[in-house]
Amino acid sequence: MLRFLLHRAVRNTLSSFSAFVISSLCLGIALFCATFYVEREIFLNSLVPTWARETKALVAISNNATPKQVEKVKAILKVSKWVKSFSQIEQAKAWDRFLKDFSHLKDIAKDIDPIYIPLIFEVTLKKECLNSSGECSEFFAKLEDIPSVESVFSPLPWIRRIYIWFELFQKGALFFALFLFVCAMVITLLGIKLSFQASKREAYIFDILGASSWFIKLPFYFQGTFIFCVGLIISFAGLYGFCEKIIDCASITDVVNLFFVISALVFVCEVILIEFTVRFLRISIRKSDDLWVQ
Amino acid sequence: MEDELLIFCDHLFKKYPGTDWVFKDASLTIFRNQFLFLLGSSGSGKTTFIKIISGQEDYDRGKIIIQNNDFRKLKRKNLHLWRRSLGIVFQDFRLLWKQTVKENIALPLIILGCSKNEIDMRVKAVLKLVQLEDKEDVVCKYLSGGEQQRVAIGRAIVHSPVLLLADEPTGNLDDKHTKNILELFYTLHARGISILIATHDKRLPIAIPDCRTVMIKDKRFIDVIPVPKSRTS
Ligand SMILES: Nc1ncnc2c1ncn2[C@@H]1O[C@H](COP(=O)(O)OP(=O)(O)OP(=O)(O)O)[C@@H](O)[C@H]1O
Ligand SMILES: [Mg+2]
Repeated sequence: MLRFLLHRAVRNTLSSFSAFVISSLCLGIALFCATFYVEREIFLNSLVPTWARETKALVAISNNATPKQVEKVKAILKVSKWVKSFSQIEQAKAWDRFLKDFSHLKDIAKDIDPIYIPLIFEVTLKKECLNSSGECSEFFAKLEDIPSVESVFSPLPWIRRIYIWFELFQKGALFFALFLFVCAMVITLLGIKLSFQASKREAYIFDILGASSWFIKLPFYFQGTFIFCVGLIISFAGLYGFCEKIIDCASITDVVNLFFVISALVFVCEVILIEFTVRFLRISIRKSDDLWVQ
Repeated sequence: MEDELLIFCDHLFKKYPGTDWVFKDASLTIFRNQFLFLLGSSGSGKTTFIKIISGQEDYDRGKIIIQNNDFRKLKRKNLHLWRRSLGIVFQDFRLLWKQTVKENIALPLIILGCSKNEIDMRVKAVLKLVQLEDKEDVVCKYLSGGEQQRVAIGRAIVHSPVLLLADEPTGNLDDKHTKNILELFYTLHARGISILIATHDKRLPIAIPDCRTVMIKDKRFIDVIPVPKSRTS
């Protein structure tokens, strides 16, 4: 019996093959995008380079600042919720670094007394700083307004821009996933409707011969399951390729866990939709003597 | 065994939307293991009665008791189980055109969940009974009317139903095949299958000894050939 039903399902699938291909593609891409959305942390961490993940800012103190004023800046940095840690770059060391990085300026630089090099704090920012909407940049802008602070160098505006783009991208992925999911379901149900219409007489005869409702419904569930399985394979292959070949994820296993949860949810949705569709379609054949009038 | 009640129709009323009554206060009792001919002119409601009994058509008033259950209740829950115990030969056959004789006949067994071996065995036996052994792999739409009718009969008996409902089962058959089919029905009856044949051919009952004949007249059922008292209601 099961073989008979499977055979019918395969036949139905083949008879609406284009619908099958399109809906499984849609479903596959939708699953991929949905996973991308829920696992954005992992993808973000893999996408954003290390320097951006551990962002450092430089705070230069003006030369005429009194030690007391320097202590005050230190205190501000210490209590700030955006600062992970900070350290003082020694003037001599900074000078050496400068000479090394800008060796073509050696001639100009050799006359400068290292004493005029400003005192610089290297500040390591917390991760929240990047996710906060502007508050963190504001903090550094204020810091720059303090008279004893000469200037603040931070890559923050750039990184924030990356983050904003990425956030937009995520939202786009979510909407795209939902849109494709709806498309996949609509096409799946249309395919099932077509198959059902094509085998209306069979369904009618099965009904008359005493087939249980499972007997009539199961081939359509199988049909839906085929679409789901192909979609699953497509999205999994996509995720795997994306993770391993393109962005080098920390671990695909973390991604896969939620991916399967989403897939299971999608499958449940699909089954419920198929159930209602087939139920609805069956009502139409209950009283269809017309089927036999040629 | 013989007097076990199978179907009891009590004051049945049926009309199709926009037509006159087909049945009006019609009562009929069918016992298990009866061989019953349902006679009636064209349009008298033979097919309608078979449709009502098999749950394809509803009825307006009255009561139908099937194997001690109210039919309306049965229909809501276990219609498919009741249908499994029926064998129906439709007036217009209702075969799957694109499938072979064998596949058509095997359908009830597949629905019952029989094993492949059993299906093969039973289909082979039935093909022999309806004399279609050489056509088992022919697609149904290429069969002649009489052959299709015999496939329909094969499909109706392959699962040894409790009750065989046959609507004009000999309508497309010549005398020789009619005789064969009637003999087949008689053998099935001897094996304990109850049989109801709807036909307008008044000669058929003569061929079956000891059968009961009911006629649809004035929208009611009337017994036409006297039968022993114990068999009528
Ligand atoms: N679906 C329907 N809608 C309306 N009227 C119908 C319908 N089906 C049957 N009828 C009418 O009900 C009456 C009984 O029809 P039925 O098919 O039961 O007759 P029958 O005894 O089987 O006739 P025949 O010997 O020609 O097959 C007829 O007058 C027919 O026109
Ligand atoms: Mg008829």
